[in-house]
Amino acid sequence: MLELKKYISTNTSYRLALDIFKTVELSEELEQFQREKYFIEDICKRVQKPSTVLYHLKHNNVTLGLISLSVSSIGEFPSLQIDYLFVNRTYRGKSLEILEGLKTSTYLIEFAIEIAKEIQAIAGLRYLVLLPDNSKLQEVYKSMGFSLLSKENWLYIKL
Amino acid sequence: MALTIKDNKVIYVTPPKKLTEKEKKMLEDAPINHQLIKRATSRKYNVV
Repeated sequence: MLELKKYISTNTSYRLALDIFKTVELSEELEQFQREKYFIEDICKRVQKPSTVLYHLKHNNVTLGLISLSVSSIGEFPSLQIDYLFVNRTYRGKSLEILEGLKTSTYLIEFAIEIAKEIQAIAGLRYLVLLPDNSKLQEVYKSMGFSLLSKENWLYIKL
Repeated sequence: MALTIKDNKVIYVTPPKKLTEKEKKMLEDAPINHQLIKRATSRKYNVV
């Protein structure tokens, strides 16, 4: 069964990072492995505060990916920020039947759009924003519908 | 993503609070991708 396990400050323990590391496959390349490890550890700490929510995408208890979201603003415009998006190594670049033929990253971005639209209905969000980790990812996100805003490389989707 | 690494520490980056007039106009004039939003919001997500 496909599910998105939601972690917020009230249902998260200090063991979250340890539990997640048991289920994910990080990059084989050492530098990227370390980056992913640091980012996941950081996000798991942030989830213990009320401002960040983490969703853990699993199919039959196998991890496909993670996405972390927080409410922010770009300029004066309220926005939903994608703090971190991770795809389990095995599933990177693969379109999956269980995700309606989408790649895991696309499915998680579209899930973030769904969350942003839900919040928009009650609190007037205007944009979904993210800052890609590198220029290669910037092109990937552009192909998903994001536009480049600034020289700092922030990307956005208008809601 | 909004995380980066500097001096072996994870840094949390937030979007710019001050936008240029050009950036504001770009945001305000941006088209809404209704097809993408419809596809994203018409799916049932199993959040547990």
